Amino acid sequence: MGKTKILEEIAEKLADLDSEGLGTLVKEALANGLTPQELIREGLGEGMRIVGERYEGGEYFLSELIMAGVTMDEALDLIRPQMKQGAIEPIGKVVIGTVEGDLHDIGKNIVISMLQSAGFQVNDLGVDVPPTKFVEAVRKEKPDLLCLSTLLSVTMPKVQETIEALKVGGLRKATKVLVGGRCLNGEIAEKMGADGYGRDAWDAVVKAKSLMGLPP
Amino acid sequence: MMTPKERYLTAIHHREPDMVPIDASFLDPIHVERILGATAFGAGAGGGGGGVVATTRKEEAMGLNEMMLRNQKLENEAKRKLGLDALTVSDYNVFPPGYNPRFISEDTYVDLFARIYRVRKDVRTTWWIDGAIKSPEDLDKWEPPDPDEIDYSIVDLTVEEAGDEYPVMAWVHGSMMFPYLMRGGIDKLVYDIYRQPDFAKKLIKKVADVNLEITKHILDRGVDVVAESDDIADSRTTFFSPKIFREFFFPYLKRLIDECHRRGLPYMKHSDGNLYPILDDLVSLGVDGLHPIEPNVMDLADVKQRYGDKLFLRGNVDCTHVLPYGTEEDVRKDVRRCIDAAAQGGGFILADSNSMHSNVKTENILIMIDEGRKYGKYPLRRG
Repeated sequence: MGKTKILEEIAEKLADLDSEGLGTLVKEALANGLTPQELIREGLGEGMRIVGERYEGGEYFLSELIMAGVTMDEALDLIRPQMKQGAIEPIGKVVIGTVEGDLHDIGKNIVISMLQSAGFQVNDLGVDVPPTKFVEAVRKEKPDLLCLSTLLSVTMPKVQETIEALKVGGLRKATKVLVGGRCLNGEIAEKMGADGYGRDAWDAVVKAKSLMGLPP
Repeated sequence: MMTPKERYLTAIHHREPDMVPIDASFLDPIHVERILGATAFGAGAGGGGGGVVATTRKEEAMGLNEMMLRNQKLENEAKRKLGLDALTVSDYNVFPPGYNPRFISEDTYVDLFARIYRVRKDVRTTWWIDGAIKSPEDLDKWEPPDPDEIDYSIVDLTVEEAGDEYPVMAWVHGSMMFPYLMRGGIDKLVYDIYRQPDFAKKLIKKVADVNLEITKHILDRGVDVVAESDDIADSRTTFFSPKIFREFFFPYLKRLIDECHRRGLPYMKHSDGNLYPILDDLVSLGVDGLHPIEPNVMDLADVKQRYGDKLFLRGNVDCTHVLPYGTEEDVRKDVRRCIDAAAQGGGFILADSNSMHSNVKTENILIMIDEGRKYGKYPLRRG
């Protein structure tokens, strides 16, 4: 099988959530000398793009987004041993977390899978993350993007507090802030001083790229 | 003037009552206390996802059933004082005699359905954090509560207090929510459904069977409307694909709906989020009503237009933004939006868009009811 063909099939197997078929193809591709970078960018990345499209189109639901993340992680487990540290230059660096007081992480975790498949390097701070911890991570890692997640209207004010804390720390200008979660919308996100709002995981990737001036 | 019961049931049967019925879903004890100046008991009582627990020595000595019975009495009184049109009981608040949740650390406990909660006793809040069913072996070991053993006194009390004047709405659960709470998240149950479907099916069946029996016991006591409140959607789409719903869950949903219909009781489906992908399925399974038609996610006027002849609608004053943070005018405007969208011809009950949770302003509840009464007189003013 030619390189283009095998990458196409990898994308297709991931999009169809066929873990077994995907595993076989990934192993074959690695044996044939395809690089981890090609597999991730052009194979898995394309597969996740199709998953996002099917979700947008109403063909896929939350269940399929979750399984796409699981299936991609399984493929990454096969690819990872072949990766040299720093061999892949990420298209952007992201720090992400669920804001203080909120423990919900499923949405955030799907966003992480989607961002990784699109080529972002993601540092996940987990759940119930206080503003000071976000600020600390941003200061240390200098990410291009800070992503804040919250489901609850009770914890929604923590999004704004975190953005304020970035300002106080003198870090706001160098970092774009993208927010998402059940209780938010574009208007609220803007009022809180965020640069963007992702209404779902796929939209978050689109917005992340656009905030960084990258092509969709 | 109609009694609240006549008003409510007339609306449910798609006719216009004297005025739009007004209801509050779960009324957090904090509101009950403010309205009555009395003290409610326990943490997490009746709140979304269950998780009731004693917070003081006195409450521990009282036991959960006694605590819930006192809370129920207060809630019924608060609802009547507010001038609402229905009383409500919830399967979250019934327990076997002497039952207490099992603490696995100072602030973390496992409940009857192997769900793990955390509690902050100082602010009387509990929240779900995980599930105790980590493997097929855990499922085999899990002993569900015995529905025959459970103490249903809160239902008896409420039916008696309601008399002929108030309808009693029973909030119950089926098979679609507890399994993912017991497994520790939707992601875990979705994994099971895809990768170990026999385990998923066994878990779902075990929950469906227990909840059906608990529901039957509650219905036996003479309630008027059933509200099944398994949450199955997020703000973008449903948790599961329609294919998964049809294979894993809908047979049990059908069984529960049929049980209610056999007794002549209307069946209302509650779920937050976007239910559009399965609305036709729900209607064909026999669902009679829908709550809350989440604002900014589904459109009340659109659902009324497309499903208004088949479903009575209950909702959807925004309890995410408007009721907690809105001004008086914001609340009044939102009430008028609901009535304009869905009240024409009956088939509509004005209520919150999920619950009167603790972050809602108590005064906004009063404003909602006031505006509902002023603006909701039939015949309605048109547009």
